[in-house]
Amino acid sequence: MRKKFSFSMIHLTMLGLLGYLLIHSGLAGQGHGHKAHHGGVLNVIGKEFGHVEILVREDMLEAWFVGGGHDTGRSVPIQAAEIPLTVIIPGKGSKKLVLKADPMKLAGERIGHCSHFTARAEWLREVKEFEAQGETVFKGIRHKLVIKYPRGYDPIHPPKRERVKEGEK
Amino acid sequence: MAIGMALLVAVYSLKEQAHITFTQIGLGVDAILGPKGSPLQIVLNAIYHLEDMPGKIKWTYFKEVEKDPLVFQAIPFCVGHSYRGFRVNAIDRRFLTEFEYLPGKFFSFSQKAGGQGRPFQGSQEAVAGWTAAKSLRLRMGDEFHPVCGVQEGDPVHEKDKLQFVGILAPTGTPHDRAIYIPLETFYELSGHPPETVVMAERTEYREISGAYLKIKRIRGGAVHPGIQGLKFAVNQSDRNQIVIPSEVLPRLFNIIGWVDRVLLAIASILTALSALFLFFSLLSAMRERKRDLALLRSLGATRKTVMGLVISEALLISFLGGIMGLALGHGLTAFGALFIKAETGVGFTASYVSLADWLVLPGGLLLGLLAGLVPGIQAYRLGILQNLSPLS
Amino acid sequence: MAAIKVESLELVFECGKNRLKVLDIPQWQVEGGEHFALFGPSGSGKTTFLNLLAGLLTPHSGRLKVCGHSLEDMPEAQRDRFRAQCIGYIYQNFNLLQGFNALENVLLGMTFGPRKGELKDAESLLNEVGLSHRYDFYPSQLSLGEQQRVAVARAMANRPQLILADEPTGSLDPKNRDAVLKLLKDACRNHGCTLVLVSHEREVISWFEKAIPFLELNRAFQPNVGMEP
Repeated sequence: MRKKFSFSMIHLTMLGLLGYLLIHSGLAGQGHGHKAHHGGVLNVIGKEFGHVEILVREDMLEAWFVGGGHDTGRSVPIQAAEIPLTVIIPGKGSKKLVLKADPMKLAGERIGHCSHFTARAEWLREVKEFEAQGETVFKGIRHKLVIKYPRGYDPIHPPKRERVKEGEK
Repeated sequence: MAIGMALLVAVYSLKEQAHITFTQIGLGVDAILGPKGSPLQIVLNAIYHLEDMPGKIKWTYFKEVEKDPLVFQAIPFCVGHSYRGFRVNAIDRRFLTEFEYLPGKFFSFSQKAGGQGRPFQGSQEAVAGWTAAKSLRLRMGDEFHPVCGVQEGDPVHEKDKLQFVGILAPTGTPHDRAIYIPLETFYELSGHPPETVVMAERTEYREISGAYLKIKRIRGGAVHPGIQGLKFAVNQSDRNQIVIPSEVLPRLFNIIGWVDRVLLAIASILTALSALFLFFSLLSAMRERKRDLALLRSLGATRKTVMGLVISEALLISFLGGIMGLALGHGLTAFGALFIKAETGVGFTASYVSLADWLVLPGGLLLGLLAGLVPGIQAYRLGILQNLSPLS
Repeated sequence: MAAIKVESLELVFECGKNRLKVLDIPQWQVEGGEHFALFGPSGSGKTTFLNLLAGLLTPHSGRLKVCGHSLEDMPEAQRDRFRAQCIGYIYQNFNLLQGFNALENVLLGMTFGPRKGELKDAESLLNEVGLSHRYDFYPSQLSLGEQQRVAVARAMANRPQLILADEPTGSLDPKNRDAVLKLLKDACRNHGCTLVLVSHEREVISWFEKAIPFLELNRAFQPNVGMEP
């Protein structure tokens, strides 16, 4: 009986250890588990009301407005035809960039009911990192947009590095 | 030991081949444009001619997708008919003439390759896949009435007689299991509801079951990463979706992966039990052969020699078991492949060399060594005088 | 050169707290090529002495030189090789391997020695012992006399310098006994082997010019001598 008891305890301990390791490993915490369907980075809107996925390729910046939480595979069309952004590039000051509605025809979108936005600028080719701010009406409510590229923006579940930095503070 | 190893070889071979065939190859289809519904159901129907399509998509929407710059080729099809148990798919003629079902491989009607005839041209013509033709003993010129449905008892299009003008050379893929008719014929068959009849003339009202999509490639032959964006866009629509077979099937394998894990566990247990049996047999044989080994020692064999003899015997038995296991395993694979081909049309080969083939002999030898170790040590420690016949 | 040279040889068996001296031989020598018989009652230590000569046991003290090899301090593996090279042993109960036929049993005698024996050598030995028609016969298919002949042939297989025979005719009838003894002596003479034979039968001893009661050799088997608490 004693042997059986210790055998089970060993198993429980191992399971617990495994669970602990899993929770505190990169796997469990990675990007809070949300998928960026276009290979970009997710930036939370509001209190995870939604996300704006950002992808920069050569001289083009693409933005997709998608659902909150795990619903990042569902597009959320917005009314705006344009969204002006102020882009802050470390060591290079700030620049203006205007996102313009680029409807996904296959999704049945049009300008005024569009989740996909694009902007082109030559200086985007050289940029490795930036922060951008803007504003738009999302799901009927005006929200501030905070975009951090390439890290992404999630104040509720910040990436590990930021958590450690806060701890150090 | 041979049986356990044979099971290991067979299970590994079929598992690996199934994984390659069902997940990596995709049978020439980068993506399937289909209706909203279960992605797995769409893949099983569109590629493996199983299950049913969960709905239809509009021809006009298909044409929009076809125009997308990322789409290299789009082949529309309609499912829902059958003939004597084999699915009859109405499909664009380009499927038979331009579609690359495996890298570098196109459908062939050449006799040298095992085919016959030619692709269909007229609306009353049909082409059979090789397996379908063989099972139904079809010959060129044979005629048939397609069944409106895939279940037994479904109504037959009595007024429509189609003729086989071609039999595809075998491809070793599920395409061998289907019968193909022109896409337009689907709408022209009599007995369909009026809304379907209209589709024959008016493409703006036309609906199809789905379309095979081939996406443009980038450097290195990889599918353009924009496929994800295309999929995302289509999936936002109300009625349509894009399904990527190579994403869906691995998930299926994860779900049913326990099946082969159970089989592997059984095979491993069998092998381990047989090694245990070998161990006890050698141990028992040691008791019987103490006198013989003592005699060998008295003739000048050293302790190491007799120990080596016992261990070598164990190694030889397990080596022979491994060889037999390999042979038997490949035989079992051939047997399993027959069933799989009959059910899915996918051809597996008995000569496939899987991970188990590389591990069976070394693994078997290791088991033999372990089984022979204790009897070997007993032989080493054998006393000569105590074990020879009593003397005066 | 002496084939066997024994000096102050003692062998003691330890049984729990008791020590039993089984051999105490002050001195003995056998010249090369000689045929020697040792006789005496059961329990006098004859077999134990033969086992010492074969390197199957090591003495507690004293010196033992056989075929030029000093056995008293020789490591076991070396004694195994010595036995394979220099000794042919014939047992009362033949000790043939039942799963091997006559030819294979003889070949076995060559397996561990320095000579790589060939089939024709084994056949020649079987011919010599009169078994040219029994190559493929298994021990269970041979008569007792034939089995002992195979044992003789096996003992000769590695061309030993010394043949040790422990009651080789103990299981045989008189006719076979005489046949095997003649065979053994002829074979030893032909191959130049020294022969030491142990028996308790007068009829066997009578075949040897040199025969000694083992009790004269072994002081350990005296009444009240050799037993220590």
